[in-house]
Amino acid sequence: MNVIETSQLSRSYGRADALHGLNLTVPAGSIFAFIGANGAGKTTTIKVLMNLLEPSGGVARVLGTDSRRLSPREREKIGYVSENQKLPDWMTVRQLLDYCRPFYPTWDRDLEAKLLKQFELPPDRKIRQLSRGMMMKAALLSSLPYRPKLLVLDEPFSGLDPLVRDEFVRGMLEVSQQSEWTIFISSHDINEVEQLADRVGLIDAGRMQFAEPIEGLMGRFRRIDVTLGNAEPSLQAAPSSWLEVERMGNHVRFVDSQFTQDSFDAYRAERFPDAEAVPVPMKLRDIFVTLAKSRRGQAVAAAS
Amino acid sequence: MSLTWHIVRKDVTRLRWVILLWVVALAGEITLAAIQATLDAEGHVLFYMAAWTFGNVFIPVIGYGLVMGLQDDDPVTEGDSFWMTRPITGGRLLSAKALLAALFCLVPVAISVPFWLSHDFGLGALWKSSVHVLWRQVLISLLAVPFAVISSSGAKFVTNTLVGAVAVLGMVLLYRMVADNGAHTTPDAVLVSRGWIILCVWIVAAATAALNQFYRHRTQRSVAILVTAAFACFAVSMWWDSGAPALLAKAPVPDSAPVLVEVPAREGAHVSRDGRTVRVISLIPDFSRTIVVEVSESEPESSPSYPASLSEGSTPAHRPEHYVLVSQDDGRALTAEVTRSPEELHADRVRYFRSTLVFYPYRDLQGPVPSNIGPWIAGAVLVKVEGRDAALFKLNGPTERNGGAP
Repeated sequence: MNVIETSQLSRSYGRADALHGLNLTVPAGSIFAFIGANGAGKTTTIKVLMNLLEPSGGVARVLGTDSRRLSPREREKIGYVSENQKLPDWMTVRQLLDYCRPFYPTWDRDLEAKLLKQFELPPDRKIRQLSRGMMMKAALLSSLPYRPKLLVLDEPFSGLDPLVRDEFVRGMLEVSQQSEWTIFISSHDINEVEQLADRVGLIDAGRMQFAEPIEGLMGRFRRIDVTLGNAEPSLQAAPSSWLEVERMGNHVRFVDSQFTQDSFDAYRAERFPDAEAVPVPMKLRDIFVTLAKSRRGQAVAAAS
Repeated sequence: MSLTWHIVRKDVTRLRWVILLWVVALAGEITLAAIQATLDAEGHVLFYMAAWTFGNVFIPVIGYGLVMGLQDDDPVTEGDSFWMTRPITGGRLLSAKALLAALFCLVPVAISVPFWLSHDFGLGALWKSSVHVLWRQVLISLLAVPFAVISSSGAKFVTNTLVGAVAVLGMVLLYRMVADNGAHTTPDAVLVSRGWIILCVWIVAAATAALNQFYRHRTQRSVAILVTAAFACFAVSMWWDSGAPALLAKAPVPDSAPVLVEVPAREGAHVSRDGRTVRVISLIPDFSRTIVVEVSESEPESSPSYPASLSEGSTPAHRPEHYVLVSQDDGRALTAEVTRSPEELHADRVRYFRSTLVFYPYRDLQGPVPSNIGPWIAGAVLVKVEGRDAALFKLNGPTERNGGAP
């Protein structure tokens, strides 16, 4: 079952299109990293999912319900933390929790107390007096004790120092060990969510580029370093799965985006018979950079 | 319902200091008015001005700000307000805010009731006074709510209010220039009719904008609704020429002979007639080239002319009256319209209200104006003329004194 599902989702601000026919599925139980550069459409997508914005076209379903018809019953199962969200900053942390509690029948006071202690938040301090990191922790604290089925985090780590980020992640993992839930986390920096996510999706210029399990993604991407011998390599008509193909002297480098050992053996024998070719595993960040460059190159080519 | 009250409690907690300030201002107004009523001569002026300032400046401003404060914490414009991401529907939030706004309207009444009871108000007076006090906060809310629902913050609320005030001022100026032209020829019935239509249009627009914001968050649409309503109100004020519908029209005042009440024009002088008393509180000659007389009138609840409602009693057009100042020095006289203070005071089943009369000898007195106006008004008589045909008694020249026909 998919917790989030969008079909041909689009959203415009005046004449500017922020989302173009976005198709996205987030399976239940996954921790989905929604990656994209600033302005790619991440926050707009999340706002449409949370019914903070109406889509211009297409459909977004959250927990099986059209996002435009999210009722309190669904909201009781959704947690939302955003860097842009305005908390009632005149409240103390305790008042915030006291205010939120009655709206959630499943609110767990033991978990609340545990997280309050773990996050080291001063309960009697006003939210406006908290640092940015503490404010984000307070927002998360008000979204976890009812054990939401879906936790939506919009750039939660933006501007947080590593220590606070670790506490933040530990808080989420604390709950995820105890309950079946899905986390949808957006970020412009893959490093921030790499350790947390098991699925990843890339959005660029309002279009979904891909979305798949991280394990599979890392398994099929390899940087191939070829040290050429005497024979001239056959680089003509390179397969479309080869990205960033470049030759420097007697070295050839490219990224194979559909790597399997069998296919590698086959094209090495065919194209680089007397060369030394080494497949190197890539970091997730490098995969994203490669893909982003590649997509941009395709877009420029198409435009010209 | 409990969750609705939960939101109400949250707002009360947030606004508690403003509410306290407001309650103090309301109690202050009543206290000052009560003190003022017990004083004569110059002593009352300070309290009168203080009570006026509380009633017309502090309390409306705080009441207006309270409406802003209600919405400021839970903006209903587009965006990611905290409430929108929680299990709170627009309907529930609207219920909570409307409930608290209604309570805000009742607070001034609740504060006044002990004072009224301590002054032996009857049920009728209690009801009339309650409606009178309630109406003020309702009007303030009607003005503030549209601006509150289209503003995402307190700063934007203030900005929008200023923009609205400038727009209204522009419309008033345009009206003055084009329609009214300072001639004041529009019949009262038409003015009443226009007032009711404008009020209804604004109520509908405010309610529509509020519903749209709470349920749909389409701010541009709400702004369009309010701007359209403002133009509609302006059009009504310019071109609506029909009198009030039958239901709203006031009953015609029966013909009655003019009533003349004569009282010596000196501080402290008073005269009673049919249970009603007219008292001269102060008389200031040659003040900014005018003669300013303040008169206090009292009227028991049992009096047949006791108004059916307080607003009716405060409408000079409905019961025309004016004062004539007749000098014993040369028999010449001056006329002044009544400028009745809307602040009326009820005590011991008697209502009191204060009138400020302004006479303009340099403008209105026929013949030479005495260089020293003091002797001219020494021993003068103030004649109150009231009744349907009181206007016939306006004086434009020398006349006989003591209520003789001019």
